[in-house]
Amino acid sequence: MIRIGSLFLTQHKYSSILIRIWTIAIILFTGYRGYQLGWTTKYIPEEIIEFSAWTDRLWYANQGFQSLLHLNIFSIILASAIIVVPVIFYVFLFRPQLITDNPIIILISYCVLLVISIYTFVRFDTPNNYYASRYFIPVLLPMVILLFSYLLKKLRSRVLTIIAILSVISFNFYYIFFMFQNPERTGRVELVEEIADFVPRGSLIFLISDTFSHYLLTPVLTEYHAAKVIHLDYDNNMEEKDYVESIIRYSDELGFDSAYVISEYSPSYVLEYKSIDFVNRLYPNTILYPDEVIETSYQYYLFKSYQPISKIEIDNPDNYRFFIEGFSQVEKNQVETWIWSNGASSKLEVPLKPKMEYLLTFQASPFAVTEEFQNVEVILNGKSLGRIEMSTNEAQEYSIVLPSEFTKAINQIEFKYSYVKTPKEVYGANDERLLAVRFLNFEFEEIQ
Amino acid sequence: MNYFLFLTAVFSVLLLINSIFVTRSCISLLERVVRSISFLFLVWSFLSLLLVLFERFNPSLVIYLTFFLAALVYYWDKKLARKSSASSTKNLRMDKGILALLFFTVLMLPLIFERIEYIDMTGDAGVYSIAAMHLSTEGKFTGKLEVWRNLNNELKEEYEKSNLHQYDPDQNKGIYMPGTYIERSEYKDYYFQFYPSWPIVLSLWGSIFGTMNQSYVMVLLYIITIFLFYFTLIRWRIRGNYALLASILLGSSPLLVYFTKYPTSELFLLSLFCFILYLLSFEGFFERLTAGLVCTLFCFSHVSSFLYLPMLILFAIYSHIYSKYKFSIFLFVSFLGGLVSLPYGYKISKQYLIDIYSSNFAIFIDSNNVFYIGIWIVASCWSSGLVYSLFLLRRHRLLRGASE
Repeated sequence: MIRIGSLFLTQHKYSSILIRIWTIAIILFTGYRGYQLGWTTKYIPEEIIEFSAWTDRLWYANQGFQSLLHLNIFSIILASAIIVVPVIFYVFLFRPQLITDNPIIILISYCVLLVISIYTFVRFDTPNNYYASRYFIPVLLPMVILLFSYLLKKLRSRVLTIIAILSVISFNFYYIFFMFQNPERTGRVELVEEIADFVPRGSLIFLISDTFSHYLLTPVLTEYHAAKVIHLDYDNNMEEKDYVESIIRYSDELGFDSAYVISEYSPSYVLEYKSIDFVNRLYPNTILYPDEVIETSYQYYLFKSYQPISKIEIDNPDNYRFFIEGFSQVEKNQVETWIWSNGASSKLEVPLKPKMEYLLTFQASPFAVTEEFQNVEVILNGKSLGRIEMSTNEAQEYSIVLPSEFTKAINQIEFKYSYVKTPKEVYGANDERLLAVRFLNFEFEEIQ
Repeated sequence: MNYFLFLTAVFSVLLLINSIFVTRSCISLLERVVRSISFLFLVWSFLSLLLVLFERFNPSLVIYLTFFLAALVYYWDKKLARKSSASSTKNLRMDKGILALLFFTVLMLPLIFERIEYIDMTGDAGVYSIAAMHLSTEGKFTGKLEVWRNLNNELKEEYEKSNLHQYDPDQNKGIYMPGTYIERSEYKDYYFQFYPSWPIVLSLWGSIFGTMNQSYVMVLLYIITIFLFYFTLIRWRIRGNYALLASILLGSSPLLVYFTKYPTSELFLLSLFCFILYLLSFEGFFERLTAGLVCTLFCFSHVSSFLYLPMLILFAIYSHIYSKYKFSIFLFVSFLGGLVSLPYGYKISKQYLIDIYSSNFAIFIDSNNVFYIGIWIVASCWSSGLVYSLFLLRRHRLLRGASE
């Protein structure tokens, strides 16, 4: 082996022959692979591997001359200012004596051929630039430029030097300047910092999003903000209630009283939320160096998660959101605050712990009429739970059990009244509301 | 920004600038600075790799330890009074080429300064960035998913469906995020793809300048690389404008500029490669030994470093034929480093090693045991190179003994 090595590293004649043969082999094999890539279906992938750049072969294999742009040699030429590799190949083929008079340059030439061989015989195509051509950077790029600089010195050609300078100015700087003016993947740190401002460090976060946002936010919030992130797949067919149910179940299991939500839809069960716009700027997948940027807009909503409630205080305006149907305006005097039902039935919508039994207690008084008692049917999520008879006109506490089998994360509690009257009809007052019951508060007590 | 860590790192560089390893044969102040910073990265990396192996990585500890080592070297150097005349101020000059390259680098700064904020795990750069953040906080390359661990069976299944990818509990395999492998045990749930050297560098930089600024280390690496390349060409007698033009050709490559903003390991590997070339342009034993260590770090940073193994073998043959036995120490350390990187890779990122070897060797070998065959071939080549370099080293010692 040493003798063979000795032959090719010292004897100029044999070195020249070997370099020529090796270069021709690379060219021929590149041509053969180019034919296979461009004019056969050999490299069209049979199965799509997720996250793999090689899936791009679906689009660029069997595309004739267009496919040839994906041969590694094309990207290597682009990476080295166009001029470098053709000059080296020219010298290898036609003027190898320029390199064979210096042992260290022979060694470097062999190294260049070795590395180009890796990207010819082992891996031959580049799916896209810049991403997939990065393997040329650590060894191949400095080696070819090093060899080129030696050749410049040897040739002392002003024309070649000027062409190299022009290449740098016209080709390299054109794309560098484009990158400078049109950066990609910006605004991400700002996005994370905006989230970090809203969500305390170490919080439990529910991320309701597509896969992209999951991969974008989950790792960085976990590592940078010490958050515990649970991703819930965003699905157009799912209702907000389903997410709320999941969130409450997870929070309960993990023992978190409060959690935060980042979602791609605007929430309707919370009062306050923050919305953040994010533009994802990416260079397109292209084999020529990119000269455009593709933008995709995202909007994220941040809010404190839906909390199971334990009571509804009528004097707190934040609680008005629970009165979704069949209620009047809140009224008050110096002593108390109340809300009248308005219509044949009234509906509350409240977040509770799913599958938890509750005792619903409410203080209320009926709209008094002489001939009958008010009889209220309580319906939880469409299931009738029974009737409450209001036998006195005074405000009293009434209770009913909300069984665990019917409680969900978001619950509709309907009160159906046995009669409704307008004050106009009873007292002759100028009030045409259909009144049945005056509510003073609601309490939801967990029954363990 | 952590000013104390910053000052510690700066003082480490200053101590190295004035130590014998740097001053002995450097011609200019800038070269001494570049070389000292390169040394600093080398020491940082090796200390960190050792700590990561024992899952005790701590960026601050690494920076303090490096300072301590630099101070020791400085003290030892002064005590032995072996400072060479090359360190005198007359050698601190800058020639026109260096000034021109300095001008080019300054011109490039705004063009390379904008970061590609790759903090998502949709690509390799994000894996490196997130792994770096993870190393900073956890001190290891493995992670636990506390949420997953604390759920009941029903919720666990729901969690696995929405949060994990291709998870198979029977095989204990799957993906948490692209770029991580699930392997559950008492101490871990997943580990990161790739070798940890590059995330270590990001993490160290992040510990000084802030986590979200960790990828700015690439600006420094870019500058160092361009200058190392230039100094190498000068030392290899490609002087003047040609060396300058070549350095500009390298520094202005759109591919390199892009990967100076995009935090994958390629720029780091390029800087290591240029550092090897630079060190090999010196005659001293210390430089050749260090070149071997840099080559080792290259192997510890890049799983596919075996692809470049033929270059080392060719270099060994060249050293033998031309009786350049002085390179034997470089070859010995490099081959040893390459060999040791295999069990290290298996310990740190097993599935990644298996995937890379399997996919590379599957091109040539059609077998179910392609990984084992591949790793056996590579280990044999590293071992053969090691034996060969030992033989060269012995010859070198014999020749040196004879000449003395």
